[in-house]
Amino acid sequence: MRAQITIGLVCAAVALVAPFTASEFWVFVFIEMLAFALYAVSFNLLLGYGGMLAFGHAVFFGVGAYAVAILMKKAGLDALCAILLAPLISAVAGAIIGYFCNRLSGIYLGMLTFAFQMLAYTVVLKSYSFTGGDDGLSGLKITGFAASPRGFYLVTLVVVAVALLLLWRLVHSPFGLALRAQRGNPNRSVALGINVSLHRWMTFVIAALFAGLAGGLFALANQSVFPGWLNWNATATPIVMAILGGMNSFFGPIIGSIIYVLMQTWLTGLTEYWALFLGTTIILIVMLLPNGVMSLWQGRKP
Amino acid sequence: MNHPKSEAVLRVVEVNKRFGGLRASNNISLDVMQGEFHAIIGPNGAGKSTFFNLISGFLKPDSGRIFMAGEDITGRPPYRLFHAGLSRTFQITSIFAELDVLENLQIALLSYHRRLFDGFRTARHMELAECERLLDLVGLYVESGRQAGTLSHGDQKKLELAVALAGKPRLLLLDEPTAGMAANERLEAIKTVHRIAKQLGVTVVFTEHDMQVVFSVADRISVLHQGTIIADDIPEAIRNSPKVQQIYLGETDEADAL
Amino acid sequence: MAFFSTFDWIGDPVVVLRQFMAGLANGMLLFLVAAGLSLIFGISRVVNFAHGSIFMLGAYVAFTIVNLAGQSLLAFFLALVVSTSFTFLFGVVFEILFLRRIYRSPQALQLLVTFGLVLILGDAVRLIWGPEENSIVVPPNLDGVVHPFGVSFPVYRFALIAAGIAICIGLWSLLYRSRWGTLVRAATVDREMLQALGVDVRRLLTTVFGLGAGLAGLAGGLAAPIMSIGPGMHSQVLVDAFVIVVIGGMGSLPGALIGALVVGQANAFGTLAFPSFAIVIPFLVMTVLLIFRPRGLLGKPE
Repeated sequence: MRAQITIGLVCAAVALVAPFTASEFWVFVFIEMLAFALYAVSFNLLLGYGGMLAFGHAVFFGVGAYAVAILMKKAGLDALCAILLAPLISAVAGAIIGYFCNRLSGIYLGMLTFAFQMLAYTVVLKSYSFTGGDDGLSGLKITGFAASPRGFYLVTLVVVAVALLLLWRLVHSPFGLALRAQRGNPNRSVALGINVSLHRWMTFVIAALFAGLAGGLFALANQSVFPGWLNWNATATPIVMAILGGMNSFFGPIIGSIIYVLMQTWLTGLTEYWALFLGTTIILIVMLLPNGVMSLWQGRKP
Repeated sequence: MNHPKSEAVLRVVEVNKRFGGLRASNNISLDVMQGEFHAIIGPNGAGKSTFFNLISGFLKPDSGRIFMAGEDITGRPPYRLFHAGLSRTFQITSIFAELDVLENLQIALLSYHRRLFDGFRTARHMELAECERLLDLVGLYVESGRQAGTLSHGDQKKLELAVALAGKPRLLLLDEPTAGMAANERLEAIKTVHRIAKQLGVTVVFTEHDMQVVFSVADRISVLHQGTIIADDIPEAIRNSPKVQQIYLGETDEADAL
Repeated sequence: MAFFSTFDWIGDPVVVLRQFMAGLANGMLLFLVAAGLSLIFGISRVVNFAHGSIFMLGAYVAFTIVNLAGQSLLAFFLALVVSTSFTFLFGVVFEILFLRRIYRSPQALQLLVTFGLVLILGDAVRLIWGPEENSIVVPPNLDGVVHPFGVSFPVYRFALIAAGIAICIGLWSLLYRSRWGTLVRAATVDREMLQALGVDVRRLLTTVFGLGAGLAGLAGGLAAPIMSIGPGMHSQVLVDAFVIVVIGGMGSLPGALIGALVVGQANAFGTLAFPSFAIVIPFLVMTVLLIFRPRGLLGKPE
């Protein structure tokens, strides 16, 4: 317990000091880490806690990102309104997709989420006037305190911290307990009066909401959005982050996302063939450390 | 059907279920009275599991109706039946193996109190007193923080019973409650369940293969054969029924026990 | 109206026939890829994301052999043999080294391993062959044009259709007339039971994966003369293969054939009828199918 608190304090200290000591480039990297941490935790809500491998999860991230961009560029909203609305739009997507996924399990659930993601990708690609098609949308202007990278970083830090806190409470709440129960034994769950269908659907909506928030923040950070964020190779990102860190804990995906972003940043600067390294790392992790980095100092799951 | 309708905790009326060509449940009608400890026996393949699944909402009958305490529960999904006062155990002990003992009980209690949509408060400290009470009731003395999957088979069965009782059921369905136990443990186990049920006033319907177990505690026995109820009476009558003895012919242990 | 769909071509039998034949050829190629994917899933429940990459590998290997051995028909056959053998061996080695150890692991891990392979192969081909697009010419004796029913049609496409039919018959007899095939079909239904009966299921899993990979490699070799051989050629094929196994049913070989023929035709006519939205259609089909009939046409209910 003492170790955990110490680590927590160190992280908090780093997080607060970082924007003032690091270069602008690194501030951006930290922002990316925050957004992806939220993205990975939202994914693990479905996978680690809910037992649902939704490998089209990128669709919610992408919808959130595009929602922000379209609201700002086509509806003329400011960044604040856009970032407040985007998660809600993503949540609606979660409600729709979750509704259909509910009757499915295992590989079919995963494939359906993937199908929805690819559907979104192709629609985005083809709706040039609305979404900028292949080029995406750019030039998202932020004004006020968050206009500077350091300011935006602090805003993102607060938003992501609050979001993670809410998710933390969720997984430790009765709702979270029900989620873990139905993952292990759905028959016993329904025999005990748990409306498993409803719980799973709600989890989809919540996961989508937070993934959409992450996507929206990322879009604002980049001040642009691209269809590639919805493409099929984007499906691996949340899965890699969750597994890398450890899908059996709350903090695992957060650690996974930090490592992932660091690796990606370092490798893309170093070599053109960074996919080779990422692919190798993935295989090594799966074969050697299947419970993720967290398993290095943790006996079993919390 | 000598009792007034209102006293039957479970009333099954002409329920049928087919699977392709197989008639798993053939026009079954049955009444179980309040406080009864009712056994359902029959050779393998008689349709006991199907019957249980029909009553507990895991299967929908093709025709017929099922009533619990006067309420029509035909075709209702299991999760709604729990809240109506129906609990069950499974032939292969079904608990939350990955959760710990405490969490197993907590989830049942939280479900009963309809608190499972609380997404904010910490569940760790909820319902602790009630969990203790349930563990005491079934005689399960293990560390509450232990992972349920690591318990012995007998302890897991006790946990499953405790979890089923968490919903304060008026009707408890026990699917082969002594399955997997050594012969000398079975009587002890069923007598414990019988004691608890009488203490709480819970009506119990259970399936069983071991005739000694059945005759030691049952108030009434129904005999199922190829999906049909061929006898439904007090234990003495069943024991002396030539019809019943005939269907058990060939299954010498059970015929002897009769 | 022409933006969404044009149907003027329906009246022209020449165009229809030509597209139909092209769709048939395309379908045959896709069948080879999808059959492997389906077989692998049927026996191991693993969705091999790297299947398109193996197809690509086969194409590149064929390209190399043709460049070394000359442009003759013999050289092309040699290239096909080498492609198929190489990808078969590659599949066997990959299965033994990696997949074999994680059959009992959560599906997310299995998925990630195949995903890692996609990343590695994607960069590997760039490293070895360079990032540019390559091509080989249609081998001599097969490079002519014939005019059945007055429609001009490349001979090579006919060769593809013929090859496809031959391989189909070969696969069918392998699966339904040989002992190995019977074991494979049994393993698709109940692997554990088969193991309990004393069958070496591990070796079966390896050979099936190898066979699937070999088929994909063969398809790649066959596709080499008519497709642009580049590092991106794996994605369209993979996506098409996914749609096919969803249509036909995961694990069903006849289903894969039907699905492949359907998708082949859809690709051929889709671009004609819906020039702008053709790419949306396969995912729309996939989504609708997964919602209303997840097991596809001939798949088994889970």
